[in-house]
Amino acid sequence: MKKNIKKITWISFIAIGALLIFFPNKARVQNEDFPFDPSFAQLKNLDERHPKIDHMLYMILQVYENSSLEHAKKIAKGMDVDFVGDDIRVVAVENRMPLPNGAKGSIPLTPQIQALGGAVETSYKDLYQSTIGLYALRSLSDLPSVGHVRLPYKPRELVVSEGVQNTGAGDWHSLTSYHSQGAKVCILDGGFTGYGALLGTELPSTVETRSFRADNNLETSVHGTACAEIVHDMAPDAQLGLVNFGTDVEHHNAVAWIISEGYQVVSYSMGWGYSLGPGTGSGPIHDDVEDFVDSGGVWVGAAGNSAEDHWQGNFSDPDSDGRLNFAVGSEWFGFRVYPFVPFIIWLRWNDWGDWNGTNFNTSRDYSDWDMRLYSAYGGGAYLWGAFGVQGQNRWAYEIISGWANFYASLSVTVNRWWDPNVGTREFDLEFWNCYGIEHPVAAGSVTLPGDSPDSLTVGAIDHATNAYHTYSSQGPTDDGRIKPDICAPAGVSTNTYGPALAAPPGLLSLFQLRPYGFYGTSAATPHVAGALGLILDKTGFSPIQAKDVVLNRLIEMGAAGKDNMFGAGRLNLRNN
Amino acid sequence: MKKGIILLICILLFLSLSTFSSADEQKVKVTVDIANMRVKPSLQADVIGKLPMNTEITVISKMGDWYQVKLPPDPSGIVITGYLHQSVVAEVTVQAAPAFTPPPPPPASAKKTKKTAAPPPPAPTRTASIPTYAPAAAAAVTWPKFGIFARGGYGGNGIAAAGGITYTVMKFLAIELAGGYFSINEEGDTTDPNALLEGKLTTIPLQFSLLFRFEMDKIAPYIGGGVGYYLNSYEIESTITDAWNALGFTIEDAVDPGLGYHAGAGLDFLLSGNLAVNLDFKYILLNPDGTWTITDQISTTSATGDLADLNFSTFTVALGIKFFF
Repeated sequence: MKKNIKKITWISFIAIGALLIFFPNKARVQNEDFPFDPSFAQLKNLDERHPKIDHMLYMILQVYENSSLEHAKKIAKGMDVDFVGDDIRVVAVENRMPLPNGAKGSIPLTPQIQALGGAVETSYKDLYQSTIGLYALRSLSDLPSVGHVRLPYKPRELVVSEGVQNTGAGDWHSLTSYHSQGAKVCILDGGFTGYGALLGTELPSTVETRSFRADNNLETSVHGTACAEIVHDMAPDAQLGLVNFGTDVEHHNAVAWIISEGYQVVSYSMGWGYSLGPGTGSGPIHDDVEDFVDSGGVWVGAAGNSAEDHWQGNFSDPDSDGRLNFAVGSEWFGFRVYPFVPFIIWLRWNDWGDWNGTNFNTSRDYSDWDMRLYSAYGGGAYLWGAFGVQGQNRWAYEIISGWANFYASLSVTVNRWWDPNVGTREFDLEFWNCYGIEHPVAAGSVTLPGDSPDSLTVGAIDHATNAYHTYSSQGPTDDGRIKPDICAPAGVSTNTYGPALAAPPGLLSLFQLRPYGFYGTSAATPHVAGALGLILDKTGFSPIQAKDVVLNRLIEMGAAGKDNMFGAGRLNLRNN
Repeated sequence: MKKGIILLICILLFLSLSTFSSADEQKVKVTVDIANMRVKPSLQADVIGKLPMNTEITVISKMGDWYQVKLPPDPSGIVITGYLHQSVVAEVTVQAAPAFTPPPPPPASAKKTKKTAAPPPPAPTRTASIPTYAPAAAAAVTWPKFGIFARGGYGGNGIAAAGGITYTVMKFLAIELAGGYFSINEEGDTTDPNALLEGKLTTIPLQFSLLFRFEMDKIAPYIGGGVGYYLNSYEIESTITDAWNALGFTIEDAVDPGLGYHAGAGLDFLLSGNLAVNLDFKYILLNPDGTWTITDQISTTSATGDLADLNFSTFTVALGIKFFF
């Protein structure tokens, strides 16, 4: 009997342990310790759609209308949605209407927004970045001059880690400059916190700075500072520009300014979600890249750190229940999130049509797919979903974002709402600030606008071993091109992120609880931009010629020829 | 014959010594249509020359009724001396330095009175073979027209050398064709993208000059100027090219050949009838064009651009010899 009790005790321990390991959140959900703000779940019409308001924004509006402004602001903060006072920051996409008298032109949108109590912070073409009270959001969307209203798109800083590798740049530093016109490298990033303290040491004595954020705050993140440090390490005499932005509209204006200032190289360790393009190298941010390259410059962009946070696959629905199968028998895509860290899941499918410079609105099926979030791996309770309306100006993507109170396991499903041509459908899922992705697919994980044919896209390798860093995003692009173009060292030392040390194991590495270096394609990118700056600073080559010099000195890595892990090879400035 | 040679040597020696005593020389002027110049102070002596009226001729000495005189050197430098009877000439007052002022000649009226009684010189007997001397032939030295030269010195900031030919076109004007060599070390300026890098210019100038020469007895100073075509070659400092080459790049700063201009002055000093020492100063205005080129040996990517504001203007100072024909 005693033996049986002991046996039962051991079995119980093992069973409880297994439950905690494999179903940690199920246990917590059952314990009423729900990891999410329950506001969404309390909404009566979770699946309600609005024809002119994007779904995430519409959900916040519903919280406001069903609960309170404070509640909506609290939700918004957790979703990285901006409020300025009591007004939410949105982008009104202008629908150019003919004037009442039939004359060509459009009714100015700015006074209409002001009449609703809002304010236009900045604009670019048909995009009006505005702040407006939630009480007036429906009125704004009802304006005939407004095509639709959405939240501003925001970039992601690709900080994962850093590394150091000798690329041979040091051999160039002592060279006598040969008929150089000088080098101007712009670090276009989210923020440059602490840059002032590094002037004259880790950075040049003087730098040009410009914030295109609505609040003109340059020091919103240390990410750009670390990138600038690397560019300066590579090209000590290059003139640096530190330019930041916060939204897509600000991005457009920033790039236009960078072009006007004659910058030759842009170092871009940023990326965008699937809301800005189909992965075929086209879209509004890609147009900025193209504009810069057309001006004679070289755009060096990060490939992204999504190789382990991405899924790509064709349509599969054996049981015809409208839910996509991610693998055999798997309709719920499991992943894990960190406490108090906003997470985002993007869904994109291949029904965008062709980009005409303003819109993806040609040759489309007008399919409509949705995404639903559940409280556990393999299912659990339905939490909320993304039910955007895909139409004339609404593109083929959905976004779910949120945050948890503690470590949680979740899953999503992809559901068909309408698709007349489902047999040709291909899907991409990307998870940001998530881990434990259930079915990772590295192929096709390049972050926008790294898929641009105009971008010199950079993957990450280890500075010491030249080994591929497994997070470094891989091609091909959705139209079959190889990306990245080149790989460069990550894991180098910077003042900002500390000395290059071995990364701490497990989750600590992702939180960077202690400085151990700058990893990620964010670190690799400024090495390439700096190499170009160095060549421009030492020679009379044009930026395009400097790019040729770089591409012809690469040391091939991986499979013969250009491949989707290393591109054409690793950065090397030596004569071999 | 032997006697004649000794006489000639004596005459040359005398003349060479007298070259340096020109300050107190005395001259006479022919006062008849043709005056016979004789080999000895005797009306029976052979006539060695016929001098037209108003010819001024240098007196070597006075011997009784005869003046021993000398003719200017002929083109080969030979000076001929002879005798003129005092009845066919009149003494000429010569401006000379105060220290060597000769005693004033006796009153012409007294001499004339005395001389009128003298028998007229006999008519020449071999006039056809005797040369006649024009008044212009009375210059001290006639410089040969054609010569070659070689000179060396300092130019740019190194050795300069030149050689060529010179030809006297007319009085006061000569032309000179010269070829040469000089080099200039350039410090370079890496702050100016269009400036040369540190290196050395080597140039071969082919110069044409117009010289205004002032030919005197033995010295001919000149000033002049001209144009030149400069065959330039520039080499970047080897430590710079080596460093770039080690990284797989070829760099070249090329200075184009082109026109340059020069002005200067100089001096020829005649050592003998054919050989002169030449001292020459020149300022050369040289602003050629040029290009820079960098080539990546691996990708063959190449960039090129223009060098701007190149200035190799410099002085040359050279000493040499000229040999005249």
